Amino acid sequence: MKPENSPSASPEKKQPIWKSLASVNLTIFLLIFLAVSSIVGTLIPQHEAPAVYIQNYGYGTYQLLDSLSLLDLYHSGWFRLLLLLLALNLIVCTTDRLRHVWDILFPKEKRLNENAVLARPGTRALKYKANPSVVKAALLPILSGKLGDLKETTAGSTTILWREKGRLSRLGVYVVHLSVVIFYIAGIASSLGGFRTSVNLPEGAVVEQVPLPDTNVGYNLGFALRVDKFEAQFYPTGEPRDYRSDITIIENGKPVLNGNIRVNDPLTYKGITFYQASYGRFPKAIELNLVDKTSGKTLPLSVPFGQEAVLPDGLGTLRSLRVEPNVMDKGPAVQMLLTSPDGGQTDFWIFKNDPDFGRISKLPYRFLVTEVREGFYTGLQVAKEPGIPFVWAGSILMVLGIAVTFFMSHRKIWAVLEKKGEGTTVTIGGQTNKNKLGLEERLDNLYLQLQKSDIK
Amino acid sequence: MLSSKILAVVTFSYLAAVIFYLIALIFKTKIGQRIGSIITIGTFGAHTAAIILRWVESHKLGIGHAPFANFYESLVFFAWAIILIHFIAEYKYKIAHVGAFTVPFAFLSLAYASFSPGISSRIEPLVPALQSNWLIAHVITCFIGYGAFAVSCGLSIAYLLKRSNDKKDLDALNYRMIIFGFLFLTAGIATGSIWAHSAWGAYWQWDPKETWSLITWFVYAIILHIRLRGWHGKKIALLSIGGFLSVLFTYFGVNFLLSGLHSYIN
Repeated sequence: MKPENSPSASPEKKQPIWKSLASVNLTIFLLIFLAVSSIVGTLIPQHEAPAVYIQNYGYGTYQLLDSLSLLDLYHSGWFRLLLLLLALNLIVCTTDRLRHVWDILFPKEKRLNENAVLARPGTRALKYKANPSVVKAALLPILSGKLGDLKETTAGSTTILWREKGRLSRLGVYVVHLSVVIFYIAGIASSLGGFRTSVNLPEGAVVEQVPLPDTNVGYNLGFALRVDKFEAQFYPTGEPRDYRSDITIIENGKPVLNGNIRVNDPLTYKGITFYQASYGRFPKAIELNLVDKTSGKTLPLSVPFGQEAVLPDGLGTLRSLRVEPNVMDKGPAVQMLLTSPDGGQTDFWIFKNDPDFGRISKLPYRFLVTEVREGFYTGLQVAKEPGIPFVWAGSILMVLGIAVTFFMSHRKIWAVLEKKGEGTTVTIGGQTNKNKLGLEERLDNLYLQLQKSDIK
Repeated sequence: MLSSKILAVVTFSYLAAVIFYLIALIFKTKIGQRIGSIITIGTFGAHTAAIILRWVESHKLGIGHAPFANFYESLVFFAWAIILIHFIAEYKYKIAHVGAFTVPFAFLSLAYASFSPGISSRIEPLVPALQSNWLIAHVITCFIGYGAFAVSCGLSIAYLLKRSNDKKDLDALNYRMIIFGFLFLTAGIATGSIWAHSAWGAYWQWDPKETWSLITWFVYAIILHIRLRGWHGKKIALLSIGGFLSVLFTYFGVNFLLSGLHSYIN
């Protein structure tokens, strides 16, 4: 039951299923279906969290949309099936028609059949008194043109002079169809052999393994990437000008490559490409001043973010927990965890703009936040996209194919010289697969030239 | 900026051309047609000069870049592409009165750019995502395509309004414009996809702009295939108008109604 897989089926006894798979009607139906589904996919936000849908559409609608795979439409089974059907349609239609076109492209007989030529409508005839060889000699300069070499076919007393151009242009449309299939290959290659994920890396961080989306496993890069520096530049107007991560690739413990990654200028190493995707700031350390409540003496203390610092006089340790830009409308604040020597723990907030609010009475100090030192992290997109050569190939072939299909034509013009008594009849005609009006104009022109010429 | 002042004048100048084309169409006067054509040619010269001047101005501001970087500039270029392709219809294919149906699109695009309060005509520096040579290739191919589709839509309206039975030329040219637009839309999507790969790390993400450009591509692909089934004339004209609505949604609707990666255009 797979006649679509048997291209050897002769055109005379085509199976109905083969016929419908090769039909333009199916193409049109599939294109309409694809267009409408794609529109639906832009109207319903795709792969959001279920809660978002339930809030916007209600639970019942959410379930309905989900069961129809409308929430990740472009990756759904039925959408892929449509694409597959279109591919099948293209391939079958191409094989079906190519056989016919092949006979035109590479004809077994390299001559023109005078009867077939003369039977074509729209031919124009002229009669001359001179014999064919004289007429032919006079005709040659008039027939010269851009239309390929002049060829000659003789059959008995009939001579056909003809020119032909653009025979291979008949292949253009099949090149376009092939390019669509190449895009499919690109998509399949990328989804089977590729991945895309992102990592946030503080300056100085080294990454050897990146998380794969929707899984718990990491992807081993096979080398390490270290972020040496991140820099964001801005125009005087405040708009971003440049984001740049300076990186080092390390293999077997040795740096092998220094490079930088910028937007529009990714870095590829061993098939893995790193893109500048985002950036951000993170707190590196909280700089405090400890002010003795009685003497007023000030002592600086630096608490690395997320780590502990030892308080003087054996009063315990201080760990920084959080840095927030605005707490209780009192502006920036840091949350600290105090661990006393006896093991007791207390957490408290220090407000930068109001050091006496929420202070801790256990300790003989007031805390002043002098600075939250920040560092940059860079957000890199990491991707392996084995489909990209196919995207290039498909793009080039499709654009060239469309240009050839629609702007070039396969065109023949001919002059048939028949000996009639002592004289000669000249019949001019032509054939084209496109722009019939253009050919008619050309033939009219030729006819006029012949009438004006001094051939007797 | 001098360039945006010139473009404001250019806008009215195209309107004047439209009025003369319409006079020619309604009162069947050759002179109206001639004046409309002369105004359009002269205005197109000023339009081109303004685009080049804008490029120069951006360099003088120290943020030199091709004038394809924001919504205002894209509208100005859209109008330019429409007129460029209008010339093919008027001079190569000698379609009489075509200006009455094509130049209005250019006028509307420029009027929207110049006089909508929401659109800034300021020359803005290029954000990192747009700093690429692909910008020029992508914008030019897309807008030549859009321009051809606009002209095709104009020809379709002309076809539907014309009462005569001899409309073969209009239909033939309409079909050629669709082909021409389709070629450039394809090139526009291809350059966009390859650019997206180097800028965002993914050549296709089903972002609304990408998806709508593909929908538009489907619509015109349908027209090209349905023509093989013998459809022509009125049916193709109606489909072409539908195709242009899809172009308009890809261009404007996506920016205003759907969010996505192309949102920096506003």
